[in-house]
Amino acid sequence: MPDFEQLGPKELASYMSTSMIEADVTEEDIVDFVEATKGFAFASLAVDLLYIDLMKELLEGSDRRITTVSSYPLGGMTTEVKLKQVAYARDHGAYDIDVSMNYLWIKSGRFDKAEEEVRRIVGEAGPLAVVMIPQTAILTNEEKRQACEALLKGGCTAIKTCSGFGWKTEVEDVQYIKRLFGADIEIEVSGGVRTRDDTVSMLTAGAARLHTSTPMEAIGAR
Amino acid sequence: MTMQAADFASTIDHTYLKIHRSDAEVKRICYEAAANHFASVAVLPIAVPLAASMLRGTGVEVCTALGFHLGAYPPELKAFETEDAVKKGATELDLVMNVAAAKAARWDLLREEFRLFRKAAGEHIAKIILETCLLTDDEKRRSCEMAVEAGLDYVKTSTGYKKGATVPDVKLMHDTVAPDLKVKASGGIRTLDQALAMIDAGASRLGTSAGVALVDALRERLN
Repeated sequence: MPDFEQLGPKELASYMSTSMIEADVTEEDIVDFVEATKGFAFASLAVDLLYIDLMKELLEGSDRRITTVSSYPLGGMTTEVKLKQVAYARDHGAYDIDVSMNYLWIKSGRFDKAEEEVRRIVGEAGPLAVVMIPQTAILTNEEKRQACEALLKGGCTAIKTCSGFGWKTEVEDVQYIKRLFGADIEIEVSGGVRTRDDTVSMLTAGAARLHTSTPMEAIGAR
Repeated sequence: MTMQAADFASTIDHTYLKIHRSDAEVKRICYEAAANHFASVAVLPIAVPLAASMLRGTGVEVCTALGFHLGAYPPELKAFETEDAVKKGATELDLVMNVAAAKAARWDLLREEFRLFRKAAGEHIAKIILETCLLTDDEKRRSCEMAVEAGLDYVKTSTGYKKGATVPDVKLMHDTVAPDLKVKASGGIRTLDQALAMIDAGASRLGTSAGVALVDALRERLN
């Protein structure tokens, strides 16, 4: 593991997904977003499903990856709707999709249903990489463990801890999941990655990738 | 304004749109809605089958929130989500519109979205959520005109995840859509005075999680 404290903005950028996800993000905002992030090799650029096509167009000839989201951020959509959104992302050329789990099932102990849903999502995704969001901010440690176990059994090997939008990841959550599932699950962190200090401590705790809407601050370029 | 408790109760969409954590919470709001004769229970789509089974025969409608809460995906996906919700038992559909389309004056996109929403909702009540706090007055007005043109049933102010309904917004929306469409005020409605002011401004429905306390407060005031 590198000493993240020693890395500069360009190196940190390679661990960072930067996102432009909000209700009022326009096509013009997306164009500006792509332009503003050009100087750094970010791990991916995250947008809502609405903008995958435009992103493809803007990023033509670049190897930049597109991340998108499903049932986001509340986890309130049905399996059928998630499958449809996943199929759309796959067909339109997204690299990966962050899918909120069904928190009603997780909070009420129905991990078998959660597992089955993950299995269907992974099956539908094909080449599209699936990242499930357990929303650690609302879970007990035991629920975090069981949610991770369920998504792993369902065939998913990557998580994004939280959705952001008010749900924040703690360093302790990353350490906890890393300790239990470090060999099997790649941990992405979202929610509360704002400064270079946040970035360094989350990576040191075991995160493989971070998500932020303030990328320049988070990599220490500003 | 004087209003009877029963009339007031019939304006309430008893709302539970936080992250869902237990069936017990869904059941509780269904019981409360039935006991108070609210217009509907508003839940996330994953809770629609449970709410529908709980509310059967009570006269309370099953309302669900679609595109929630960012509304940023293509119209065909929203139409699919609407049909899926109807199939699972929803009778009222509250969909977050493509807010960015209004910001960018892409009225063609909104027109198409609203048209597909109307078609997918069929006979059921179709409410489009503007998220007014993100829009200028002109954008609100144009969005409302689109909703009239598409033959939707309601224009609704807010998701509740950002700033909520204001009296001036409800007035503006009512002035633009009446008598063809109705207005639902939602987000941040916590007090009886606020609720009555919204109705006074032209709201036919109130989306709130405080419905039980509001009806109690009105009864107390009338006594």
